[in-house]
Order: sequence, then structure tokens, then C-alpha cells
Amino acid sequence: MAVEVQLPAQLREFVDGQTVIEGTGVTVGEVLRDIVGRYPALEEGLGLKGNDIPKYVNIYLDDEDIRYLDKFETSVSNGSQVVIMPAVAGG
Amino acid sequence: MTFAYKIPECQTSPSDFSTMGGLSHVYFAQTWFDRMIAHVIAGLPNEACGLFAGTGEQVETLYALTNADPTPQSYLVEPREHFQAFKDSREKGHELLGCFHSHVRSQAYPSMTDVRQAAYPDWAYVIVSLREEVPVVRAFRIVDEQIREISILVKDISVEDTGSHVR
Repeated sequence: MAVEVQLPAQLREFVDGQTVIEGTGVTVGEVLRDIVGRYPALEEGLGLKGNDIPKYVNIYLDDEDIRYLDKFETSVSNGSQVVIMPAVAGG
Repeated sequence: MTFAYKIPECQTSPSDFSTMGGLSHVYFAQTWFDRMIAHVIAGLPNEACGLFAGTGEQVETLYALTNADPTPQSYLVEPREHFQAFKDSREKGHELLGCFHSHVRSQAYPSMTDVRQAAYPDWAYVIVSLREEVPVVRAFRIVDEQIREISILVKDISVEDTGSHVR
């Protein structure tokens, strides 16, 4: 499946300034691994470690937060859209 | 309902933004400012939070949202509401310009946690301190862990409150 991934401004330095990248896979996790395979620095930029979604990164598939779906195992469809946004948090 | 509040004079010189670019002021209609203060007071004893959107430096919509990490020392804008606000602002032709949250026991200045977790260098970070009887409101940019205060101007106008429906 080909999926469009939208990245926030602060992650674009890791992907040659692009705002939208196409990834392939059948789950959100596969799509992200596909992109990280091409842009390895993005893994650190996203704070991805293991199978947990970083607390301060929100990942949406077609308008739904994947935390409330099947997380990284959430299935994607051709033409799906993944949006990554840093959480808004503090203290 | 209009609330009493204080906005201390901004101590940052405009020249301090010469290397930062982006927002150096933020303008609120009275309606949004009142809504923000009402929301953070309603959130006591915990911190409360939200987002605002607009064009340029003008806030056009304020989103009073759920704190998904509700304690007196922390906030996390509920992720689904964050995304709904993002979508709503885009549909209106606006951009998210910043966020607001309360400090219930400390001054209106970014905490270490605020600085470490500031992920949007172009945004205005508005902090409402509820430590004193009258809320104190200040706004900041946080870029590469550097803090710069920016000016807040409240315009004495009322606008239709359309932001809260994303919850």
C-alpha cells in the first residue's frame, strides 16, 4: 500500500526538507519503518524505540489517533494519509 | 463573562527576535481571552490547556481542550482534540498559532518541563498563572530551549465563539 505521510516542520530537516513523504506497507508501523529505512535520522527525530508510540508524538491515520486503533499494527489502505504531530505538553 | 487579569509589560525588545523570526506579538479578541481564563479557572486544581488559531498574529479561534495528563504540574492536550483543532483551523483557512496552559502554583513563565517539551518553535506559548487572586498572563516563544517573551494585546471586541465544538 502506498501511503502519504505528513511531517511537522521540525522533522523536515531529517527528510531533506520534505513535508510529505510516501511510504509503503500494510500497517502504520511498516509504513514508518519504510520511511525510516530511507531517512534513518528520522527515527531519532521521532523518538521511536521499540513498539511503543512515544508519549509526546501523536500519529493519526485518516483522522484517527492510532493509539485508539491498533497502534503501529493499524492497517492502512491505498491512499491513506498518516499525519505526525508532536504532542502539546508541559507542566 | 469578563474576568479580571493582569498582563505585565513585555520585557523583550523587538530586536531580540531578529535571529528568531516568526511571531513577536499575539492579538486576542476579548471573547477569546475571557474564554481562556474561564477554562483555566474551571480546570483547578489541575492545570488546564488549549490551542488557538488564526492568521498572522491575530487569534481568530480559541480551542479550550481537555488536559489528558491532569495534575497541578502537568498538561497534555488530548491528542484527538489536538487533531480536530488542527483540522478545524485548516478548514477555516487558519493556522494553529499557539497554545495556552495554566500554572496553578507558579509564575507565568515557562517551567523546565515547558521548555523541554516545547515542540513548536513558531508558536506563542501563553501561560496563565493562577497563583495570585488575579490571573497573570504572559506569552513566550520557545526556540531551541531559548525563551523570549512576546507581547499580548487584547482587543475589546466580541466575536462568535466557535472553537469549543471540537471537543
